[in-house]
Amino acid sequence: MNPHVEIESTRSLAGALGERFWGWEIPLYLFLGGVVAGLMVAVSALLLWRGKDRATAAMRTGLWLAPVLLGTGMGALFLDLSYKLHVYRFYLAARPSSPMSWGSWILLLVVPVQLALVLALPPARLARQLDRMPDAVRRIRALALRHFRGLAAAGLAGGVALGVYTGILLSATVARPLWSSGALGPLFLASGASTGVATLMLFEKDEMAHGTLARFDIAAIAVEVALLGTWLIGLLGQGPLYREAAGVVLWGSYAPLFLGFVVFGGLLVPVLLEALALKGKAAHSRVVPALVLAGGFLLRVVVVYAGQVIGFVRA
Amino acid sequence: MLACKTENRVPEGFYRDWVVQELRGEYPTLSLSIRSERCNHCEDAPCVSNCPTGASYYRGDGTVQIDRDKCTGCRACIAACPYDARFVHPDGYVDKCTLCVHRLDAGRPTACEEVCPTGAIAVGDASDPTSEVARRLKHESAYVLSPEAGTKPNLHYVRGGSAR
Repeated sequence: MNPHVEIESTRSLAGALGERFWGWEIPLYLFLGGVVAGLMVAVSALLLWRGKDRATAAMRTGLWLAPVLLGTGMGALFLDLSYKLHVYRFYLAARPSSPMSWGSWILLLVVPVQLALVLALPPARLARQLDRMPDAVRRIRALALRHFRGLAAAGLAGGVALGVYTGILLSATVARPLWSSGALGPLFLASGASTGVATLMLFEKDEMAHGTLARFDIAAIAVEVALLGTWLIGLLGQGPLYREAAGVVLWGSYAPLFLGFVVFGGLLVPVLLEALALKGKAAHSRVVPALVLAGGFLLRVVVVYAGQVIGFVRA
Repeated sequence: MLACKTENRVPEGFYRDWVVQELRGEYPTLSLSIRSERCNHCEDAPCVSNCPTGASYYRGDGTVQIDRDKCTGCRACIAACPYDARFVHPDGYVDKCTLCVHRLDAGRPTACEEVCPTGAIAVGDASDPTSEVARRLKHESAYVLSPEAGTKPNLHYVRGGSAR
């Protein structure tokens, strides 16, 4: 039996311990990064498989949404920095042991690929403006069209790199028991795939394509549920501190948000509605992708916030 | 604590070191330990490996330091520190115990070591067998905090007050 322990310190008594070091900016960035990763993987894979001539309007929308959403996420990351003038320091170092360093370089490489893909397959409004754009833009577009398959493959690789990096950012820190799991990276990757596909579903008007996306989303959600189980059951079996950390989301202060809105509202309800729609017993609607997206965002909020509740230090 | 705050101009509400009081057991077999805690200057420091800009670094003398000019305030190091030894200074950069390197470089003891009235704190080279630190570390009760974090901390504690 563990001995009774009472612990306090001058800083815990002064209220200077246990403050949240990462606020809303980090879950928002991790969510948007995941969505963009999922979008890039799904659209690039579809383009490689079906060819650019069969790109749907939703796929084109996905292509221009990717840099817009990623830019928004990077804006949130910038807002999170407490020494904003030093943001350029990320690009004066390449540190292989730091996922955040990997991430900053991946972002730098992914954005040009995204922009080239938008130029190659522009949305209707941008396509009408292309003639009025500078020569350099048109030359880049010609180059992008000439090497389209290579560009789509780069989009696929960039999406995977982005998804993996946003996934391991938290688990690479050894100090937070809730994040100390190898399942967290794949979990965020699966959630990114699901939310990326849900974003496409918001814009897809073609019934058949909608069905394909719904099937893919059900598979991604099934993987996500399995990984959620692996993550939390693994923590419950690791020891008292890890059990306490898992308890924060399973029966503690974040349990209502996690069980009610992430698991039930964000995974189980949408998967049930998608299954009914595929069987023809319900219509495909935007409610399902909206629930998946809300659940994906709240998953990041719960993981990032709840992970900061329990640490190794008590006082 | 006060010496550290004064020496290093640590702002109001922030702490580079702090005192912990830990009561263990059930009456009548109770034990009370009081210890001064700070950055553990780990040998395998996750704050250093997670820092994306190289702002957190090993100085080569067993201490972990922060280069303020490289720090972006991203707080990856705060997330990675199992000892919660770091904080964001009001000026934006991340701050923590430096083990008073400016004093060590000048051949002086750290501020906490100098003012401790009972000589409970000893700073030095553990690999030198003639040093006070090496002598105290021979005591069987020497331990480190949260060894399960796997960071190989360089800050050691000796129980019982009989190490001197």
